Amino acid sequence: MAVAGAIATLSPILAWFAQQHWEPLPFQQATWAAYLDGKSGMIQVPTGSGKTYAAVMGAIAEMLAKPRKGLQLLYITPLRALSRDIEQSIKRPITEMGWKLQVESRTGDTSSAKKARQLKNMPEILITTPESLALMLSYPGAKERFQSLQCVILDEWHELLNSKRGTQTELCLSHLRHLQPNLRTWAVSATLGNIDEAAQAAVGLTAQPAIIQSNLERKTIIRSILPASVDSFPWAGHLGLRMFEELVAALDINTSTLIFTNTRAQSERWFQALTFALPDDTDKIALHHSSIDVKEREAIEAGVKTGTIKWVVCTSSLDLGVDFQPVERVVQIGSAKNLARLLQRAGRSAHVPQGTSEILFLPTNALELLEIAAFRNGLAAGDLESRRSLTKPYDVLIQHLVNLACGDGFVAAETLASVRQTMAYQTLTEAEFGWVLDFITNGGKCLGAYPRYKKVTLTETGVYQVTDTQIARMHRMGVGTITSNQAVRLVYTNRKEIGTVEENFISKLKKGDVFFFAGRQLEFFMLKDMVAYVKGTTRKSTVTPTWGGGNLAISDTLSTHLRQEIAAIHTESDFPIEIDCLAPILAAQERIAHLPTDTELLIECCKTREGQHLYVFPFEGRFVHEGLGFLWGYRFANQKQATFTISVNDYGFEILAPKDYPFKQLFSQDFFSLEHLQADIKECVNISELMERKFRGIAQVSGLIFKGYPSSKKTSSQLQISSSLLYEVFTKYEPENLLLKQAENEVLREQLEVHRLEHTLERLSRLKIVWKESKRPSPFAFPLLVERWSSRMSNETLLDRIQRLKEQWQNK
Amino acid sequence: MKITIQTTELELLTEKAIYIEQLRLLLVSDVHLGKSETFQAKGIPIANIINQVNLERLKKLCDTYQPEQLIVLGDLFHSRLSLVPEVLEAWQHFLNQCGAKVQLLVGNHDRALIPQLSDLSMQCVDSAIQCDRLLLSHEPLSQSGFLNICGHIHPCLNLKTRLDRLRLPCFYYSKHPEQLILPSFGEFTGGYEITLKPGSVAYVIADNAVIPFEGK
Repeated sequence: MAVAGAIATLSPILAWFAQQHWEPLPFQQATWAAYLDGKSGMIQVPTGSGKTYAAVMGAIAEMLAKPRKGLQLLYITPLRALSRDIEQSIKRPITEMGWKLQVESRTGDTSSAKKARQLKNMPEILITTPESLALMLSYPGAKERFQSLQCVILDEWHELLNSKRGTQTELCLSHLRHLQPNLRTWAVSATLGNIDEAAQAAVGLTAQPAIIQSNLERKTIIRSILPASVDSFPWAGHLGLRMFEELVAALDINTSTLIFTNTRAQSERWFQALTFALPDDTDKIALHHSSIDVKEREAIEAGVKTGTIKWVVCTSSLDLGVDFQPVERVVQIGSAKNLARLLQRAGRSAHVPQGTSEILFLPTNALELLEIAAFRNGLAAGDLESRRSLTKPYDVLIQHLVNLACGDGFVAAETLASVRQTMAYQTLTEAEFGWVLDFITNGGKCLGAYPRYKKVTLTETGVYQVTDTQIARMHRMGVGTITSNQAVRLVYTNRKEIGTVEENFISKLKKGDVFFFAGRQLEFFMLKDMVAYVKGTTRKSTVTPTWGGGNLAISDTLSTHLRQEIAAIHTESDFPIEIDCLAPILAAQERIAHLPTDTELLIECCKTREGQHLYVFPFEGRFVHEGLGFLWGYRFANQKQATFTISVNDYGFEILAPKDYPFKQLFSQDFFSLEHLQADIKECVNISELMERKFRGIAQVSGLIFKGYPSSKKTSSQLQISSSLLYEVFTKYEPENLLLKQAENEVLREQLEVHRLEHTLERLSRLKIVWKESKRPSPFAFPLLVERWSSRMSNETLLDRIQRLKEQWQNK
Repeated sequence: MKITIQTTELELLTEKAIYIEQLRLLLVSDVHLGKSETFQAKGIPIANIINQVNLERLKKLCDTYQPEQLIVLGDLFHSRLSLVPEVLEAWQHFLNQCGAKVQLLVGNHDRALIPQLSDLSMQCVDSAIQCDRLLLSHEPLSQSGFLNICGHIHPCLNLKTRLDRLRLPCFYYSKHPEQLILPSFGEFTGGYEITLKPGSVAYVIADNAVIPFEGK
């Protein structure tokens, strides 16, 4: 489109901007021009700098210039909680200017009546989530529904990119592009280390993405809240609640403040502590996390906007783009573990372009003080993490194909072609695709057979189709489960909704148990049809609901800075205040075991009632430690059979062995060897639980586990099955199943990354080993001792293991 | 492993069955034949070789112990969708070969299926069976003076220390009321974690051994 034409097309947009007394920012203008030029691309600017209007206004200008019927703009957001704000932002110019465009949302919160109406009659602009988009493709008529579509916006793409939901989005987009080849895709992403790759994944492999970055400089300042004395730190206390008085002292109840925690359980506890500390201001403090009922969340967001609510304790539910204009201060409790996340959260405190962001950091254990210093250096160096699209997860592809088969159906050859246009499946072979087709039509290949199996059928005209309406219904129920653990609705006995908790938490409660949720004390009454009924109570309780997925790992980038920080303790004399504060702990570390320099690797051995512990501290981040822990575990077990429990954190790992296990005699320089590395890793995967764990998620996404209909609210007992039982059956009778292969790949690629292990082993092999036998775990070791994130590996016989368990049983 | 309860000697077999020599009686429970077929019909591909594996194990037990009578303590079949010709034929074939009189004491899964089982050469019973000092049932019952042998629960013992964790099927014996619950015989069946109370014993099955764990 010619420049003059573009200006004419944009004139209604410019008119609205003028009415607001806004000057379009250069990056907004650049995005509009590129869009009108027919390009796809990615916008990378800090949060709160006007990215939503940059993303949508090109498309809206075109819709006004060339009115069409049907859906034209699809806006995909990772969190349904965000859809409301986006809807409001997009509606604002439309209402103010009286443009004839309809804007609606479609998420898990949308009523089924509205959803049904939308399927028949789409609005011009629709805001939705990846799951809801996938579901729309599972209804017949997708071709007509999406043929008028011009533009897809992928908001917060960095959040989706390296997850299965991101892969699901890539696949859905590939199908939309197949239905409408001229479709333009624009991703919006926060800061990332690998923008080009992220942009390519968003637009698909056939397009050349335009990348638009703003030169907005935003300064981020990190301040830490330090305890009066470091002895007051629990060494490993994950919650560090003892610091709440210092936090209250550092803040002002009349300043609007977001208090970020890393997990929902943590946010519950902090909310409880803060309301306890400020009994007169409890109505100014609110709790916000994704398990809280949507109406309540809305009320909180509105309260913050009008200023009646001042402090919000929150989790990543408020990480993303919700527009919280009046927030003046941001607090991070516990390490954010990742520079990009910290920047994003800090960005919430100055939600205007070119402001300065300040974030207050409150450590929850002593070692996190090291991380603050590392964060600051990382930010100064401008280092940021990269996120990559996953490599051909078969489970997501299975779900996608069944999805299409439930809708209009699909033809093999053209679908393979469009699937291969995604970053995730670019290397998908015909054999692999063939296996997936076989799996969904015949059940796959195995030692037995599947004579009664039917899911997808191949029609005479070569179309893959689901014909059984019950199977289609079961499949649609499963589509939302990529992320969520089975959620149970929490309802007062008078039927007022409170929120959702995970089933495995509720299932542990007995009638009369009291727990804390959404800032309330609740007494459990009963669980019926996936609804937990509770009553308010004043009785005391210490139980806080737990939610899965709360574990964050420190990034590679940050771990490098962390090691530098520890090395600097030995060489420098001028420390940041955080390190000063940490001095007593570091002294204890030196006294009990040793404080390693950057040329030393500390290995600590210690005996307790639980058995023989080995602690190793490479400071490489949780993921590398997991790989290394399992590799070394295998290299020990290979010499002397054993059962180990391996725990990891960001600083090191622990191998727990039966008592008197001779770690020291068995250890040698061979543990750093790169020889047989591949083979050793494969072996250690085989004797560990890692694959079975990964298979859990895969079984769910690929539709092997059916969790029941919400309408009937009962899991059909005839179809109840645990993923471990499925895993057992598959490994026994269908060892070639690609889903098992995928579980293995996920372990090898995501958990035990070989190239990272090589790099780490090489670095460690150059260090001087300092082997210490300590009487009790050192400050570095203590957090590992109480770490609950652990897995087992064993090459002993079942009988040996039972005999030992029996001994322990009898001595109990 | 042989145990004696009251005056009855029971042999707890690692194949998840009980043999009582005095009565020449073999007991199994919760076989769940046709579970794969039920899953397949709902679009979940579970290999049906599992039926064959279960039947072969049962056949081997009959060959070894030569019982006069085999009683299945319920849930022989998984569901209505399990009653397809190949499953029923395989079971009838087993009945022809096993050399014992076979009775099915129907459980919650197969109670509704009785009319469809009439062609099979076995007897279906819908109430508890008294046999000497034994009371055989599907779901646990208590009647004083009797040892109740039953199924239904699919008992498993979870053994857990910080170092290790195992979850294994077991025979579960409890004193009050006096009961012995069989593990589920079927390969592709889940388990229910029992808690060991004082006076109760879990006889855990591991490889080729039965190992008792006493409640404290």
